[in-house]
Amino acid sequence: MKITYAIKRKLLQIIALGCSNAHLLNFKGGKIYTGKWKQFCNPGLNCYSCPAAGFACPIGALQAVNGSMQFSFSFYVTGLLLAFGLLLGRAVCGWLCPFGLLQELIHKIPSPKWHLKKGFLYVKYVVLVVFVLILPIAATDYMGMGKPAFCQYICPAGTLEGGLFLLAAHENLRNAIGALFGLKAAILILTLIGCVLVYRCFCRVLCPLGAIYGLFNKFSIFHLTVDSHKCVGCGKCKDVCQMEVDPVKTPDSAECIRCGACADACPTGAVCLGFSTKRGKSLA
Amino acid sequence: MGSKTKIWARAAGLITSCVFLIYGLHRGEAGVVLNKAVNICLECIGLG
Amino acid sequence: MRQKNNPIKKYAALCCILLPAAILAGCAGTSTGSRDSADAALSSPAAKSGASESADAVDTQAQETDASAFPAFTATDLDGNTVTESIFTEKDLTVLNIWGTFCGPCIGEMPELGKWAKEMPDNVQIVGLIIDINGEEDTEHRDLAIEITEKAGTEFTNLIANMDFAPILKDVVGVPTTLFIDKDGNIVGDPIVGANVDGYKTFVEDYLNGQ
Repeated sequence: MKITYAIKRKLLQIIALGCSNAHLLNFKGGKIYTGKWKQFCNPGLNCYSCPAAGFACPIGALQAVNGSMQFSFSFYVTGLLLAFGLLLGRAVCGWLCPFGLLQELIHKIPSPKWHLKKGFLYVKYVVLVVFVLILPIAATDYMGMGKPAFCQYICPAGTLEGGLFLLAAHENLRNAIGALFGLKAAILILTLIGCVLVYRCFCRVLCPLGAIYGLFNKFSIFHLTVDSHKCVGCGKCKDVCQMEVDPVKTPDSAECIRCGACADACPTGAVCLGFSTKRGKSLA
Repeated sequence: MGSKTKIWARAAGLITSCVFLIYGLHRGEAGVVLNKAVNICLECIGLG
Repeated sequence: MRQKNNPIKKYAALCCILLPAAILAGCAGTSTGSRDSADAALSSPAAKSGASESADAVDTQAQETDASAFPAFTATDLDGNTVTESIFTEKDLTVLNIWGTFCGPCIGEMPELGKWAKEMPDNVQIVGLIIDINGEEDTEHRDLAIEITEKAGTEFTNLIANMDFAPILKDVVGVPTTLFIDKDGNIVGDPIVGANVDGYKTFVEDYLNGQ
């Protein structure tokens, strides 16, 4: 049996989920992990208020440092994002992000499946610039502390992974539910419905982390190549791509999560995914 | 994009990321991240 | 393409090793590294000011006395004065606002709290409890807390949390959390979680009217 990218990827996604959310016992008491590992960030999106989370969320960390009283720009988190982006680009989304795995799983729920209008793809850049970058630095109080605007107003991963489990475990948190939670719950529900209808809807429309990594797809060391000599122009790669990317036309598309479905589908082995820059070599 | 440009871009990017990482850690940013991550951020979970 | 059996075994082996390893590592870490956020703020350096004796005393006290009694404590405030639980006996009702220097909403409500403290009836007081100052050597957070109180214009006492407060703080999930304590040192009503000065005011009014 050939090990397809589909199998390898699912396995690695599950392992990544386990590694980033290993503290399962915390669900019972509604506590969170408080050890030193949490100064390091996950490559993918995983709320650090999730009871099981063992590391910090890079977007949360970015907002925390940028919005802190002591700093207005995080070299540490930016450096980390630069490194992940250059090494893997959006392969993080496809292979390591727990929230991405969740979206893929709920997309399997039978329903009519929709295409996404291209315009929506740009919303995540607006979310990135306004909520992750500008607001934590600009919307500061008298002490110079800024709001983690994406976490606070938008992020459905936080509502799901942190909010729901912590609210379930603590009565006095439930008493504190207000309009803000209503907004976040609505966003979560819409996101989940969207992901049932559209493959990885959150990744494509809202995720600021995906927006960042997508920009690195042109330069990332783990990348996609299409050997023009082997390509017969059958279009199977484009048909099978659930992110609606044409690998032949735009192998470095900012929407490509390096899932390898195109490489699996290619009848001539023209599409290759991997770290090596040599033509024809791939991760196998 | 030419492959030479790509290699230069990657090298420059990796060097920058290392410099940023080291400087950021030196400044104590990891402590701020840790502090935020180990205290339940009520804002993040939707309770303001 | 050549069919190989080895990759299957290789990947299966990898999973059998990595998944349980990750879970084991996580669970091992859980027992040592996981606590409530408030506990985390009181990590080892703070044990100095608590001293093991008072911690033991607190444990037995918590078991013997009424579950709603605020544990006895000896703490320093931001000005360096020593404060004990007798501070509660000074007023009919104490509004204990638990906060941290990392917490945006806590800092956000501080000016309003400071203003309220000056306007509230004479038999009510606000006392702050700061959870992220780790012992006497933590001058960074202490200075930050002082700066916050100065900029917010608050004049009420702010206590630096130590191990004496552990029984209360272990139930504190997030900050700001506000407790209400009567003059006998008993916690009355339910804690209010989240920045909600109007909620605190309403509770105080209802409590005083009910007296």
